[in-house]
Amino acid sequence: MDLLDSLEGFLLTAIVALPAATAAAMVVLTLALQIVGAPRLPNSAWRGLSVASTVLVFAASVYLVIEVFDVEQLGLQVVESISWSPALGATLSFGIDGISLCFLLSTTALVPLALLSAREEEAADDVMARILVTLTLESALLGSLVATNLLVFIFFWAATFVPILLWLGRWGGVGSARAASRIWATESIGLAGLLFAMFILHEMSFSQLGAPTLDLISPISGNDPRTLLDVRLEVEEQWTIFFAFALALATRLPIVPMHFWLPAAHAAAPAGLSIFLATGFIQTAAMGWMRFALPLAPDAAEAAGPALSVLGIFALGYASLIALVQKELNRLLAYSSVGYAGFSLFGMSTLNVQGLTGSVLQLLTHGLATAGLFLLTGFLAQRRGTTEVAAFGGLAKPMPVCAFFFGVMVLSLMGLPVLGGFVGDLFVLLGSLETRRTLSVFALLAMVVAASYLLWVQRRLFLGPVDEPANRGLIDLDRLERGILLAITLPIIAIGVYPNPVLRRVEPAVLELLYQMERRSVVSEESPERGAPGESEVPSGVARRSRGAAGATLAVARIGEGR
Amino acid sequence: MNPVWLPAIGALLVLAFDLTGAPRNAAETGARSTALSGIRLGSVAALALAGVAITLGFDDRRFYGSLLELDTFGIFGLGYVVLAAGMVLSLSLTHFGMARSRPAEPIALLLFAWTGSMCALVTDHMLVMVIAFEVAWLPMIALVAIDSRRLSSSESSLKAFFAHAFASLVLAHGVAFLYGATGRLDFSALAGADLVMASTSLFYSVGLTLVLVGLIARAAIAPFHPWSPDVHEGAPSFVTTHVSTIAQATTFLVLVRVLHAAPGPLLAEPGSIGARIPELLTILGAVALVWGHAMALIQVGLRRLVGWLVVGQIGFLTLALVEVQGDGARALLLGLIASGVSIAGVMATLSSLSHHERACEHVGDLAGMMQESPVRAGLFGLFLLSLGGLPGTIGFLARFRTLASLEHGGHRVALLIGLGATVLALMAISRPLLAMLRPSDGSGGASRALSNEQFVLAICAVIVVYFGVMPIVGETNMAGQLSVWIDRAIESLRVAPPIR
Repeated sequence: MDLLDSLEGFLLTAIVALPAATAAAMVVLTLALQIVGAPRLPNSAWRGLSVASTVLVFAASVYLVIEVFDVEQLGLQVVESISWSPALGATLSFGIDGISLCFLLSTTALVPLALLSAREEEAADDVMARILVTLTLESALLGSLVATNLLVFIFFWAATFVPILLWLGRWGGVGSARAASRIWATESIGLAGLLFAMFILHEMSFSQLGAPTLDLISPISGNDPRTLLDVRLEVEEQWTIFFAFALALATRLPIVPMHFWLPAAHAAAPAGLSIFLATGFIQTAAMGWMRFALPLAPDAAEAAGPALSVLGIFALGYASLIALVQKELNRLLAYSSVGYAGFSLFGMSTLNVQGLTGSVLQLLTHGLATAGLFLLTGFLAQRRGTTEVAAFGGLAKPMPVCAFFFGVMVLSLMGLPVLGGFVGDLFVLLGSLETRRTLSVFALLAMVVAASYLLWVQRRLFLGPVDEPANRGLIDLDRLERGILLAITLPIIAIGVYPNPVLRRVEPAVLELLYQMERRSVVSEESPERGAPGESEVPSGVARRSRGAAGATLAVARIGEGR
Repeated sequence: MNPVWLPAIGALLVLAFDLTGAPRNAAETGARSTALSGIRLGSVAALALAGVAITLGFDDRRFYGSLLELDTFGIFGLGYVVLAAGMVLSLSLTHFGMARSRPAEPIALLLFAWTGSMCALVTDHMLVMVIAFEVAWLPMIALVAIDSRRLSSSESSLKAFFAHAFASLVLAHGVAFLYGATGRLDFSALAGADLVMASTSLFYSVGLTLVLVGLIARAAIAPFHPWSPDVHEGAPSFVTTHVSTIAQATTFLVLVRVLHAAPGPLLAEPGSIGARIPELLTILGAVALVWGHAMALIQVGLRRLVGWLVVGQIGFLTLALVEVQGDGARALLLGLIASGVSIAGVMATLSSLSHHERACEHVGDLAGMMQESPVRAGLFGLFLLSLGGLPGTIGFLARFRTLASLEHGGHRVALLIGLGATVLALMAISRPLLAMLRPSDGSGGASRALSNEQFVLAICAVIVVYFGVMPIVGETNMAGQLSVWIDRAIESLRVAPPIR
């Protein structure tokens, strides 16, 4: 027990560092073997080591969820921090709330699956290189998800660039160089946006608090809390920061019109990379938005809410229409991601409990379903040598298991009840009914268009007669492939049937977010509606945002139950 | 003895050894003999550098005469020169190994150039500064043209000479005007507004302007930069490393010294030239940043691309000068280290790729490098990313300091331009990065890096990563110690020089 207790003290750090440390150990081991003149280890050994490492990380994440994370606690917890550079306001600090916990768990769960699915690498010379890239990317994504210091967040955000460039440039398919250039360029623009916001906050904290800080949680215990959340930003400054963060979000989530890199990237990327891009990568954008942008610029976020909602719905409708005419599976799925990123933005822009919770759930379940679809596309490509939709048809006969899993993923994306996608969609729509009633109608229409292309692709691939002779002899998924897909399907069904464990963790984080937004709002501070300080523990804005909403009441009640 | 003279003594010894025993003609003796001769004579140069380092480390005496007094800022400069000179010397061995020139001349020229740089870095006398720049630059120009088989080498040398002549002319006239206005030649004259009578204040303004323009031209800040990409394309790698590290750092450090001394109270008045210096530097820095990085985006030649990236880096260093009285000076010193090690690393990689049968002149020539030489490809990528300012590298740290100083000083437009240039830089470096990932065209693999190149690559990589990620808390590690050392160097500038 003592050992476990001491491990808990740096559990998050260990989760973030372990994949990268494994990669470093593999490099050292290879060099050592070269120096002593020993033969190289077989690829299976490297794969085994990497899978073991990532499974260990996943196990640590599960332990974090079950044993360490306190459901009753609002805000960030399990905070670990090491002083990095006081002059820069940098503290290597990690912390977690319900939102990042969900994203962390899904990312750590998918990485071993991605490694296991890449069996075609067995004979390749550079298996180890690809494993190193995968592990480094995992560390970078996990670091972004749990960073509570803006500079550290940016550090990990930028650390994802290089592995993705390497993966796409080295192991990508046709058009990979162009896709890599695009993703690099858009990510650089996003990085510049984040840096701009950081420099302004760095200076503001310096001028207001006497020392620069970029922390969300004070690393100093006692009565000297100096965090970014204590920096007062006037509305104009909030707009500046908001735009900077929005630029970063738009490039990575991605939001139309900054989405152009994603279809090209998915079309050229191997299945493993596509999984990362569809899950952890875009989740880091959402994390940055909810952890930094919304609480730091609450008034700008509230004022920009309607415009962001329109943009989100437009993105969903536009991407769905474009997806309808796609002839290649990866591109179709990429446009699906663009569309649902727009829907997620719609949820985030409602700025109420249901909308934000739905957005998190939507990103989580859509990520899982899309990861499953990219894996299935990869499996089909291995068997058939192409991902053109026209090359398939009637696959349900030779590949019934594949058809089943594909159907589950598609139905989840469509929002079928008892599947994970439904919960996210429902919450987003509930949230929008409160604040964006008219726009929610358009959102429903856009969802119908999205459903139509998903149904079309399911029908085109799996139903009807087997026209192509090459499809008749296709072998169905083997045990490992089934196991991988089952591991993805189970949480999708579990969330759809019984979402409470997720909701109980996400909603307190959302309530805390809304509380911080209200606390920091300079507009409502001047509003006569606001009560005197200390009058009520729950600020008026949170109550206002939750007023009349059954979902919010339920959310609060659930937290109460948890207590 | 003042340590700045040690390289000059070393140069004389090298020439003496060459006259007394070394082979006279490389073509007659072959590459091996030339390389051995290079190692022998290089050892003399290394001893001279070691002498400087030992003197700086162990000799507490800091006053060696009225013109070459060592303050902490000067010691920082000398330390920088010694470290960079070690790398330049190491890379020069590759050049001698290929028997492209006799070793005595380039080594002697390098040593003379280092003497000039060291004198410029420690002096607070403007006439000594002018002479020191001549001593530093003329050997450098000769070195640029040392690869006589390449036309581009001679051409770039000529361009560098014209740029140097212009800078010297303007600088010398500036010093003359200042002398006319104040009757003095030490740096305190720059701050000595009380010495300037109303009738001569125009002379003072003109003199200060000319001194600044002369130094800006010498630093290759846009629009005085066109010779720089040519030199990077035409000169051997060790020479370009010298140009991008020692020569560049010398000019910027002298600029810091001058800008700390000037303007005096008279020139700080609103509307005066002194008040406009930050504005002028912002414009020049912005032009260099955008011009350099935008041109790097469209280059086909690899060395030229690096040359334009260097122009962009100079833009960042110029922006650091905007807030030179505040945090900008610290940012600049860190920026010089970051830019120096990154460029030295890049040049070491290019040197290792170019001394064999397979030339590496174009970006496309990097194809297959990731497969054939993954460690070198990784290091090359690391140095490029540091030049691009990606977090986790020393390049980012320096850029952070620079841009934070701009925001602190209220220069938000400059901050935005700096961030825009970062995007351009990252896009420019993505081309060589992607080229390395492409499969080889089968024209033959890259050969192994030589030991001297591996040495430089290792040193640069350690510095880029270590100072990019290590905590900077007090003096608990080398990163913290460097930070403290930089602070002390800047503080020593705030102490007014004695009026003689």
